[in-house]
Amino acid sequence: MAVSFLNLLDKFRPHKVYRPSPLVGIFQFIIVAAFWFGIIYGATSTVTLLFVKFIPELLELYNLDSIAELVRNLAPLMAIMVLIPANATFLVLNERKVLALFTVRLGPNRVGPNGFLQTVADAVKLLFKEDITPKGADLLLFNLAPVIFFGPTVISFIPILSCATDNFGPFALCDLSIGILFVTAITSIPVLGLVLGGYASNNKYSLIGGLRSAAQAISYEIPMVLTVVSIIVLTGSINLREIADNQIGGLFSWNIFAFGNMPLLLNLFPLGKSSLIGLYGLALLGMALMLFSIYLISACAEVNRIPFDLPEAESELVSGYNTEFTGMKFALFFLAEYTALFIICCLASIVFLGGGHLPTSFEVEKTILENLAAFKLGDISWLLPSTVLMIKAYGLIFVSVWVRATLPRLRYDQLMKFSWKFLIPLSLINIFIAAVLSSVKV
Amino acid sequence: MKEKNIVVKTVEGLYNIGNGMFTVLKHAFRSPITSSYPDVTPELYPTTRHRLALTVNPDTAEHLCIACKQCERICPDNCITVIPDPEKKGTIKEFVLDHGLCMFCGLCTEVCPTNCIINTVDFEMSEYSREDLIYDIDRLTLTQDQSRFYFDFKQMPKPKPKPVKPAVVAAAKPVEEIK
Repeated sequence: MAVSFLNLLDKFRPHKVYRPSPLVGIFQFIIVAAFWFGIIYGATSTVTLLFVKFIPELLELYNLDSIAELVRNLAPLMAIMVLIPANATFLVLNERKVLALFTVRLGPNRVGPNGFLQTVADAVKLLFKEDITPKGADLLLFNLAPVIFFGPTVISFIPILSCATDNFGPFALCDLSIGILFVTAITSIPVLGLVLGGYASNNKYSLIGGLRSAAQAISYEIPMVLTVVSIIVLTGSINLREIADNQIGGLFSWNIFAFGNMPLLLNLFPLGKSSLIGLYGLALLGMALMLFSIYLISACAEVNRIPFDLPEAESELVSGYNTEFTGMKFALFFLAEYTALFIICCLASIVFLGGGHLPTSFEVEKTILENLAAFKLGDISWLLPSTVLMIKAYGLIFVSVWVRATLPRLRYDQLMKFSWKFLIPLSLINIFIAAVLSSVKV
Repeated sequence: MKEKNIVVKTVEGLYNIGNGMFTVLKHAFRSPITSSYPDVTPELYPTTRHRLALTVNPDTAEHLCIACKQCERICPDNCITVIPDPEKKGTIKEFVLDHGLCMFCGLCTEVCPTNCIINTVDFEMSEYSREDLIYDIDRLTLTQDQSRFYFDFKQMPKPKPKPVKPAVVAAAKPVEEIK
């Protein structure tokens, strides 16, 4: 019985099967990702350069100084308007490819080399599709819903941009002093778009999807915001860039590692007088890990990712709130959904994982930044923080796809119970503990 | 009591989720099962039943059919028509096979005494009309090299060259060798 049935059959096979090495798929995907990063960076920086330098200079030639100033100030918004579609295009491809990796498939590989242009083709297809309005739909709300869903996601990206470029040139405009509050406030608006879309499309499935998303968003916004409150208490700042800058100086000053108090843990090992300080560090570490996981879970539910994707449960509601939307409107919904995922991942990596700072000591980072600033074609020191932040955010997105590949959808009552009976009490307790911990002077 | 229950549940849940996520992560390092067909033709077993064909003797290029009409008789779909040569006994003039009727049961290949009619591993036979699916002897007969490949591939006994007079005896020999 040593020879298995398959081995026995193999003796009769005419030639070996084409089975690419398991690492080939991963390697090819990394190349595709690198090219897409190039496209995203190239497009965004070109548009920014256009709005910061070339168009204002052209306008100043004709003595239109005030308009030139206006154009210069519009640059960050334009950068976002280019960054978000390009990024969402890659995000969809990323999701499909990584999911294929987890489910032992090949994923899209027909359009372009190794599926490189698949989502571009999809986007072009959606652009040319007929725009259908269902009979009996509320025309105004039906047209307004995708805009309400998409608009806030663009706006909520503004403070993240300032953090990602470390206040480089025109992006200093985006440095809002209430950054984290602004993002959490704005990201709660899109739910209105979902509810309106579900209500306006005159379809029972859409309506149920919209109502579910409303209930879900209300339930999961509370633990998310309460977590943010604990973070504000512990870090002492609500400016995203300041929160990121507080984490300069290596892996162990990141907020996820006990809010930069990791060295306190060393006091634990020779148990004695100073072990109380060590216990304080341990409490902070547990606190940080708990806040990180609560934030990730409630943020996942907030953007309707898979274990919490009840608003668009395919097996129950056809496609949920976006069942009746076609063409560009559907594309807007799709775009906004993935951008919301990107924003929460960016926020998590800024707040917990050190933002745009390398996990090395500050000297190394400073040398790299100085070298980039002295680049002969101009100052490109924005490249380092934005790339680092991008990689961290994509790491978290990978985790979210990983969760999607693993966990099945929750039942509706489980979803509600988990939020109201577990997460909200836990995050309330967390605020209390955070207040106590931050008031202790070491 | 209830507080303890929640703690135990949470720890168990975290352990189980972690276990499941680790299992999924391991799958990322497996080679994909999907076969990309038009780029890579799938490997098929010698016994797979696809397009029917007539072999020739790989050594002498002589047609192996002896016009015994056994395949025509056993065919459940009546898709085979054998027309023997009236001038020379034991040879065929025409062999017509309608692949549109054929259900690829492989009965004809089993009864054939000389291993003349075989199922090849070729399955790409789309046509633009039903008439094109009716194969005549020219389209059915394989070349010498193709026949040699299929005799090796299916591990069929090599045919003996036909003796001129006792044709029936010569046809029976390969069957004995199989046994």
